[in-house]
Amino acid sequence: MPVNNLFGGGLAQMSKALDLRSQRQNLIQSNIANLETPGYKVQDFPFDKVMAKVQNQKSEIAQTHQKHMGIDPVNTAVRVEVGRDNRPVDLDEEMVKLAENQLMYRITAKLVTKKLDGLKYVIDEGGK
Amino acid sequence: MDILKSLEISGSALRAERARMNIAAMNLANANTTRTLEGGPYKAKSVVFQAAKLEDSPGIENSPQSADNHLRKVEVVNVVEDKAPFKKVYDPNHPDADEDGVVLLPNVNTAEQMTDIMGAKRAYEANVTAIEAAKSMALNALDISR
Repeated sequence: MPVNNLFGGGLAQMSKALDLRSQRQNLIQSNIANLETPGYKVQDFPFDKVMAKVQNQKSEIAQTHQKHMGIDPVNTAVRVEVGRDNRPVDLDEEMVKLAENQLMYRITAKLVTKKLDGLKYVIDEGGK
Repeated sequence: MDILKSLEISGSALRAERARMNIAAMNLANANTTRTLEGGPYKAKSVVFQAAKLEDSPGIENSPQSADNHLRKVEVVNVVEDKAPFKKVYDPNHPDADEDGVVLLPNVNTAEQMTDIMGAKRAYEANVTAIEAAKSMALNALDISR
């Protein structure tokens, strides 16, 4: 395994996934908080589509500055014509999304842990 | 993981729902009050919610291209009086009865207030659940480095 690939193989993607999950969590909480605010429209983005978009962008454009890669998931969702619809908040749906998002965050975090555990194991064994 | 933002959002909702609960409780408590500081029978009141932008966290640059710009907390912007007419009850022995023996009672609809209380309670619970979820996500993130 080449040294510069040591931390490759998905760590960057997983960290981006965690980032998106936590942004989505904030949006869902914003929806739940504004459950009975007149005129408030539900806001969300489809995780898989935005994640795919993020990955494509990463391969297309060279990153010159860390801030340049920041993309707005909600606007991206609008651009790929999915997500944001003009309707009020539905509590049941938001609670399901909340649970799903939380679970997926936990899974991703677990994957990162396992990945690091694997690296640690390799390092430990190599030193013997 | 922006736990502080999630706490600010759901916390604002807890505050707003509690205010709504307080107003409903006040309405129920004063369902038969015929004298108020402003004079006349008590008028039912209700809260007005408004979606508001989050406060800018100092020191942390909020990049213009981020989902954070879509986040809204909730605020109680106003408390309005119900425009419904007062209930008229014939009760000549009541000290506030007029010459025809009619008493004006508050325009509080008890059933309406009860459903409002239920709604506030459920919304409060939903937000508590959201806070729990955010908290557990933050703990999961901490577990990565363990």
